[in-house]
Amino acid sequence: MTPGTALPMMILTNVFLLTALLAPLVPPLIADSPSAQQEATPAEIVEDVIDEYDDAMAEFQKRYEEAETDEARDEAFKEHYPRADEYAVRLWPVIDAAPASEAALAAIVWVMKNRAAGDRQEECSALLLEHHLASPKIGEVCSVYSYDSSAEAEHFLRTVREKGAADSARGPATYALAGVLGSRLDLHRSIDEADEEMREQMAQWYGEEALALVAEIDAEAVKAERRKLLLEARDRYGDVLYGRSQQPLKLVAGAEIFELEHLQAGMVAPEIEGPDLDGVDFKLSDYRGKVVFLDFWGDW
Amino acid sequence: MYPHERSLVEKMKDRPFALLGVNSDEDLEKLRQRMEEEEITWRSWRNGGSTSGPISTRWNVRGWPTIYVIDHRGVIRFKNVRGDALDRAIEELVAEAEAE
Repeated sequence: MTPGTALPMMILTNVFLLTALLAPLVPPLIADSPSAQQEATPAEIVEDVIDEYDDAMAEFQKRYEEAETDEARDEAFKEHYPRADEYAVRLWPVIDAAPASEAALAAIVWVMKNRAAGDRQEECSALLLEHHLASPKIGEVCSVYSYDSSAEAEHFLRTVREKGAADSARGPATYALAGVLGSRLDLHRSIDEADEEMREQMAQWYGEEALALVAEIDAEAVKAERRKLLLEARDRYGDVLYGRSQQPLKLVAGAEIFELEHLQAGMVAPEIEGPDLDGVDFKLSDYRGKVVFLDFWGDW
Repeated sequence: MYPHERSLVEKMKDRPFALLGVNSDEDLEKLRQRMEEEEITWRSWRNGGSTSGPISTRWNVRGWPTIYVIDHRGVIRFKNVRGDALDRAIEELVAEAEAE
């Protein structure tokens, strides 16, 4: 390229940059452009926010992977990790203006999936139940509740499971409800095992009321219902995809049923057979006669 | 975790006990180097180089590390015990095995 052609291009670029920089500050400069005058529709706002967040997340991941020291990783995290609640600020007006709209549905689902609802979480789930039970999209938020032992989680999932219109809503609700019951069983056992001091701490984490609710459950009945839900998720909704990893329910629910039926204390351990780190095959049953400490591990 | 495991293996070396791993690391070379540094001598299955490998999937493992203690007859006796409780569990089961 000769200098004669390079120069005008540079000038053009600079003019463009200058306009771009000034545009947000000096509205009259762009007022004659008709497209800039039209306000973005609610659907466009939601789409823009989600795109921007995805871009920011990709940028963060790139920087994080390129960082070579712990300090550089900390720095990347501090400076570039996108906070979903900051993006959600632009979604709340869309939700508040017309909660029954498709745009609001997309916004609520995004906010909940990214755990950015803060103290409006309960309100969000109520809006979904009130306006969006017919949408298959409601299934996407169910996994948010799968480790939650609260009454709110139970109410949301039971309603979607019973009144949701689509398999892709009822299936995830059924599986996540099994998760809620599992969390309650874990918590129930922890309360039993806890000493006085631990119990006080748990009351602070979960709240007295929630803890009392879990302490009083009939563990055997809850176990039976959990099993029934897992079987239903596996057999009736097996092809529906679930959660962030988007695995079919027949796989994730099937794995939990396998754990219930084969991996409990008192059961004979399933065989493990496969190559060691040098590629030499060996079996768990080779170690009969010895106590085996089996450790699923990784160096991370 | 490694120091506790090393001391268990050392303490139990003449008794009916084995520590076995199911390892999910992707990079084998890096892992070998780390195992040398940490003096990890016990045997591990390779879980397909991933946390979603075939063995951990079958065993429904969703948190790492996950621990099972299996008695000398091959029966699962404890899950996810840690610290002193892990030592007590292993001692109890090894004594059972020796008593037979």
